[in-house]
Amino acid sequence: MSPKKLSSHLKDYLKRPRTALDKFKLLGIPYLLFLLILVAIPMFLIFLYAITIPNKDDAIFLTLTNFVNFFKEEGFIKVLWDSVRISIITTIVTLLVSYPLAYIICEYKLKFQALLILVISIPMWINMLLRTIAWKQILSTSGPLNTVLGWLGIAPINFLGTDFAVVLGMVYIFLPFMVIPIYNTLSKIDDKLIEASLDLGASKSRTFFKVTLPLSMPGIMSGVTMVLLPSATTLVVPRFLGEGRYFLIGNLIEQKFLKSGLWNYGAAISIILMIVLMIILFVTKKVDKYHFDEED
Amino acid sequence: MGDDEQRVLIELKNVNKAFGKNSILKGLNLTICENEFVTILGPSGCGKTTILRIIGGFERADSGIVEFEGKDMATMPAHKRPTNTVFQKYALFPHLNVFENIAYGLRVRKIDEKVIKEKVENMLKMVGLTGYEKRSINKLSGGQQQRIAIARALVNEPKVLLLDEPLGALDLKLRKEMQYELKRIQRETGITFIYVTHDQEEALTMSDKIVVMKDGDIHQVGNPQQIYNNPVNAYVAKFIGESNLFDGVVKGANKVFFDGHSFECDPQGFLKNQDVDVVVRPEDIKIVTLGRGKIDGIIQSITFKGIYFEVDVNTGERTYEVQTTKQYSEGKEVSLSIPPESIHLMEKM
Repeated sequence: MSPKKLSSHLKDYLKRPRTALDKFKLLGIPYLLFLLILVAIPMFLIFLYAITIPNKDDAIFLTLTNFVNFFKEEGFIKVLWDSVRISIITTIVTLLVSYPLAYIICEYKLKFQALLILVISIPMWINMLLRTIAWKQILSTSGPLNTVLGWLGIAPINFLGTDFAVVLGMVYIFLPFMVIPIYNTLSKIDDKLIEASLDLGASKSRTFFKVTLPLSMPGIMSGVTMVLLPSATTLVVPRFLGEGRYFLIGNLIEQKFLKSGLWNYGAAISIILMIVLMIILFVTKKVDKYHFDEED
Repeated sequence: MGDDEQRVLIELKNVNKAFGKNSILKGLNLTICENEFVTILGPSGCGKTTILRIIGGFERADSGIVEFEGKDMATMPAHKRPTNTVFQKYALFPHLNVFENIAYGLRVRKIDEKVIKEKVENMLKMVGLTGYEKRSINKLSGGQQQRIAIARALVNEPKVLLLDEPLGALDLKLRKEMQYELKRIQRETGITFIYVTHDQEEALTMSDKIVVMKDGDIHQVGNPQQIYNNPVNAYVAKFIGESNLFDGVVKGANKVFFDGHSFECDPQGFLKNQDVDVVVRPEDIKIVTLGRGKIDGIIQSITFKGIYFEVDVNTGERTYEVQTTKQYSEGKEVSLSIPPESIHLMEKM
């Protein structure tokens, strides 16, 4: 297409009669502004901080030093690795607990389903800090869990500061974020599809793996996203259940920004974390081989 | 369409089914033979879909016997039954393409990939959708989805194909087309079809045997001609097409009295002075010049129906519905004549 033609096309486009749909498009402008101010600009600023270093002249120096520094320091790589490891374990455990739970909820009558979902989301109404501290109490050497173990003749175990405590705390906190999206997709699967599969000779377990599971994949994917991202960045859980032994990337970013005042470095770490999480999600999506509306 | 002896395939004996306090099937007996196209016809809520679900294994009868080739199959789970179902809204798997949908049942049986490919291709050919293998289900029209649903069920070569109002969602033209298609497929494959519908025209077009139901009871079983020409009662007569219904009394060996007149007919099997329901099909009534027929009336309205006119003739007492190919004008005084063989007598319900 020649440039001239293109411009005349553009003119035609701008001159065309306004339809009702165009007016609706105008209604989207406030939201776009909102997104710009709350998402695009902050993201840009973080990126800007990450690739610059502060200097006296207020001039901007572009640099990759912040990134290089991160990979140079041995301890920081460990922090990244710990964060990724804990968040992946948390996500897998949450998924393994949530899927059967969501599946069982779907078996009940609709009214009872709503009640169960409410019960599962009630803890979300209580401050996360409180809930984490409560777990700290439960898991401590003098806590109820060790009391019960004591009755069984088992010497007190300090659970705090173990993978078990940190993962348990995270699974507890993020469970609703996994259960609800999975429940939503499961409850929307047409019973007739299950019947069709049985009708075609598939056993109940085959029907689950060939029909129910692939059709609930979108719910699993959004649940995984909703759990993986916050569990990789959370501050509260590792601080209270990690007994100082867990210094995860969220804690690191907090330290750089708030305690050391190294904004540029902190921003670079945030971006590294973002890239790592994107890669994990990308790989997970590849595992989901069923795409609806698949082209040829 | 045979009156000759056929092998019995499915037998329901005294089957009862209730949902809560709602009794859906009441002591139902039904025999289905091999190679038959059986239509279960009735209004919604009459229990016809429940029969299908009991045969398919999705519902258990509360009591009674469900036999398949003489063997009780009440406890057999759906996936082990020799039946396949075409569901009302197709229930195709949205995450699988056309090929995988059709191959679903074959893959369960771990059939060789080459054979699967061949069978699926053959099925696509049969339903006229060759070349659609890779298409996504969501990109097919209603009629195409319907065909895939039929192919997915038939590829397993079931002994019985259960069809639950499969044409309900299609437009009229497509529905007619699919009616012929289904009949053709049934003849070609020789598979027994059990077809559930509330559409009497569909039932008449396709079936070898029609089962007319109401409120969980079977009212009549017969071939389309029997059902249409000799309905057993007023309910069947009304359900199976346009009809003029009268209260009548049998008068002697060849007379029936209704609507203020005595008509010649064949009251075989009925007693003298017995109260009967009388049905006369609108296409059997003849409009004749005033004074030439038994009943006189005025043409009240004329509706053009394409190949015929639907004429309402008011006699003062009632309105007769008549179908004729001749054109009349509204307000004209005419007489009506009913040939003796067109007067069908039925037991009072």
